[in-house]
Amino acid sequence: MTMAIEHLLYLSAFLFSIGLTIIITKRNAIMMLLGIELMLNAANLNLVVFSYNGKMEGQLFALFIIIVAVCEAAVGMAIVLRMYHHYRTSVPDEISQLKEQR
Amino acid sequence: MNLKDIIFYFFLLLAAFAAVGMLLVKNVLHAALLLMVCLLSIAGIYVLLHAEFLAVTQIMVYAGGILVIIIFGIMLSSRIADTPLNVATARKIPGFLTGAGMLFMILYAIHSIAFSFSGIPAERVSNHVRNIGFQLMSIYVAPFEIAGVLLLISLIGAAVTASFLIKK
Amino acid sequence: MTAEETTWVVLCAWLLSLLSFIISLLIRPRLEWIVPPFTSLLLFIASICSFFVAIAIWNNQPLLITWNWFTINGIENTGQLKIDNLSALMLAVVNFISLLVHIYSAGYMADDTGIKRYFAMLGFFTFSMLGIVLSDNLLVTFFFWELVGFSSYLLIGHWREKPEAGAAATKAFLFNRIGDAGFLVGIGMLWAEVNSLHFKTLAEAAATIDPSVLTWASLCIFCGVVGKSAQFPLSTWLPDAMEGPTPVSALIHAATMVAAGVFLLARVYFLFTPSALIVVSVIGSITALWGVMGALHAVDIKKILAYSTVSQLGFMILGMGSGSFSGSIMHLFTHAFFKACLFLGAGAIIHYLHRVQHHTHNDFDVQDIRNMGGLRKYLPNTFIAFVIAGASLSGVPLFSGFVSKDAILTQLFYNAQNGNPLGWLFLSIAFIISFLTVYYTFRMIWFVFFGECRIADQMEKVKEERVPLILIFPIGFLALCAFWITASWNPFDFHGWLHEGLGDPVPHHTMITILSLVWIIIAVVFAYYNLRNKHLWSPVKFFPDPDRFYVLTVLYSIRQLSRLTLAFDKKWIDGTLHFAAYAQVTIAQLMSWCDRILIDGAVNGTARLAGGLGAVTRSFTNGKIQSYILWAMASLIIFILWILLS
Repeated sequence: MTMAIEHLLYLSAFLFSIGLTIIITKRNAIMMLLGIELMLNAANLNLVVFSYNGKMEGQLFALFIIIVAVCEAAVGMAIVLRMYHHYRTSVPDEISQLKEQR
Repeated sequence: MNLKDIIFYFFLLLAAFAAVGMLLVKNVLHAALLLMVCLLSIAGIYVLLHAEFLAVTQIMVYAGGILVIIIFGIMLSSRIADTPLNVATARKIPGFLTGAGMLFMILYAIHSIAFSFSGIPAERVSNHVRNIGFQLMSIYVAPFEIAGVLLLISLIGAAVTASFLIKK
Repeated sequence: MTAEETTWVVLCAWLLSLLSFIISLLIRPRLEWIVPPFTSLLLFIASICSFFVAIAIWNNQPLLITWNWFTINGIENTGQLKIDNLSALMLAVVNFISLLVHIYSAGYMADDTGIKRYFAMLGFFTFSMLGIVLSDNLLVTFFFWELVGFSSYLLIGHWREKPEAGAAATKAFLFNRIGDAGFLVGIGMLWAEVNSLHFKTLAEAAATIDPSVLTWASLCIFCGVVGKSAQFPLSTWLPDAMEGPTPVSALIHAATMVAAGVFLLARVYFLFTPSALIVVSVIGSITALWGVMGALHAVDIKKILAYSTVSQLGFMILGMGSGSFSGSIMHLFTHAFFKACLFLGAGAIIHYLHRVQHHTHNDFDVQDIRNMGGLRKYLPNTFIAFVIAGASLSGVPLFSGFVSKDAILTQLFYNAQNGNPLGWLFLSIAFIISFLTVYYTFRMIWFVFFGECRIADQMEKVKEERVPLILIFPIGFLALCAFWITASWNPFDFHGWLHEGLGDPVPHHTMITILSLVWIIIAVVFAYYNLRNKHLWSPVKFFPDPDRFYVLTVLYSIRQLSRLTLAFDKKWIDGTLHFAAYAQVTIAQLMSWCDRILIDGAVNGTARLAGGLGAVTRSFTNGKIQSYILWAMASLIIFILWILLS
């Protein structure tokens, strides 16, 4: 069969929801970062698919998303490391000090 | 059914299975490596979509940069005792439901719009990289410069945040 | 005298005794010595006034004094006093005997500490008794009836330090009360039928009332008579009431209060149907027999006289029941004098023997006739008066008692002749009673005044004592009144001023008079030989002691009844109360459970529900990032899906 670009849309939706599920279900801060990266890539894929007709905006926007993803991953990792160093745990559920005190 | 299609669908399925694998494996390191597989396959898909610059950027930045950072982070933040690198799963049902809901939502939205991908005008354009370069320096120079500043700020910030020199 | 003047004199005769009561109460204890003479003076004036009233009213138009008493429901109730022959007669008798008792008491009770109280009560009693006598309205009668009962209670129980006196007073009051309950029922029935309690209105309406209702109403009123005049079965209070001072017994239990019953019967005589009258006669005859039997057995001099009063009252009631209206009233009149004389004489004896006791410091029962004997040497005047009054009581000819008894006997004879059922029975009972009256009177006089003195050794020491004049004077006066003149000019014919004045004259029957004369003579001779020789058949042993009979039957059955009611009360009534209490406690427990579990549970449950809901909603802010992301994304997806799909 010929290359069907619509299937890439399905793939990007699938990757996006997988990324969301990873963020919600996994009990590790670094897994959350992985999930975020997956979601960003799914968005990138979607953008690149829609720039297939010759316009470059999609790819440029995807480039900028990659740049921002880098920044975010760096800062996020720094936070995770600090969190681990302070709380001795990398499970986000255990860091609930901002919960409403009763 | 030519080679291009096979490779296309191969990369597509690889990305999908890698993502599913990320969801199912218990080892964080394996999950990071599966992410790398997923990213590389997405890069392959970019190439097939005539976005070579982006593909290369993806490989270099993601696989070479971010994933390295992530692997460093995994190694630095894993326990010595009990089972290191193992990740438990909580909130399975709400999580899966939310994911399924999101999937359904996007698929529904896609289905209700008739996208037209007839004709491949991108093949007429020969040099995408030169195009991107030109547009980066002329039309989108402001975001480009700001992105650079952002990178600088965030890297300095990350370095400061993660360093142990700042004693409280 | 005009009606206006007569009214004033009547009120004087009545209210002076009330004045005596008030003054005796209010006078200071230091001036106590004034009380006896002053009250006697007041009663003397009252007696004079009543004498004038009697003369003015006798066989003339009766005087009516009306005043507005109270208004219920628009119906006015007037109190009314009527002074006709009967009430004028009674007015004079009561005042006169009260006067003599006052004078006597001044001597008899001279050393008593409660003398002020005593004279006050005497005055109050006289006032109440006159109220009964003068009233023309059943309610006014009842009002004073109760007052008489109350003042008799106070008088019988005058010696507060004697517990027997208090018990006897209570007994008298209670027995009166029992009779009064019936009386009140009778009044109620009459009111329901006639709507008025005036004697005149009742007399007019008596023909229209249904006879069976009338019988019941009249019998209920007769209950009051039974209580007050000590008829069977309420007669035992009278012998016990002898615990009071002797002048009290003379006034109350001989002359006046017990006569109030007979008087009431006379007043409401028109209400009695023939069947009711038979009941009245039966009760009267039983009482008369009862009294006679009691007098035969008694050894206390005052108790003999008390039983004698009971029997004479029974005789009067029997007379009333057989239709001898005027005969019974005549007997009431004569009985007042000779019985009062007998009681005051007994009081003189007791007073004398107390002095003997005081001198010799020997304790013996002064009232027991077995301790007396041959006292005619020491108390000659008393002896003479006693014999005269005793003869009048026995119905010896030439005395007033004979005349009045003859009137009743004649009426009984006519009753029997006219075919009245039980007529001959009543007549024979009356003859038996008169026989035995002679016997016990003779016995009493024999034991007290004749024979050897059983306490001769003590009497020697007080030979110089005499009965004081102040005691002798009333006794003598009353003894004089016991002669035939009081009742009728002719000693053998009861048709005198008294009989005619009381209405309803019965033709004289010579046979009865001669028969009763002969009968009395036989009785006197029999009594003389019996007491002298003691081997003749003695009626004392033949007729049983009524007191023991009473105790065995009535008292026993009443005690059983009271035990039964006590058991019933304990088991069922208290049991019901306990059951109700337990039931209530159980219900309370149930309700408390309901309150705790259901109501408090509902309230607490609601609170807990709110708390739970709060906890649930609070759980969203658990500080966990992934849960925040989950809910945010879920809400966003749901929202967008909603928009997309609708």
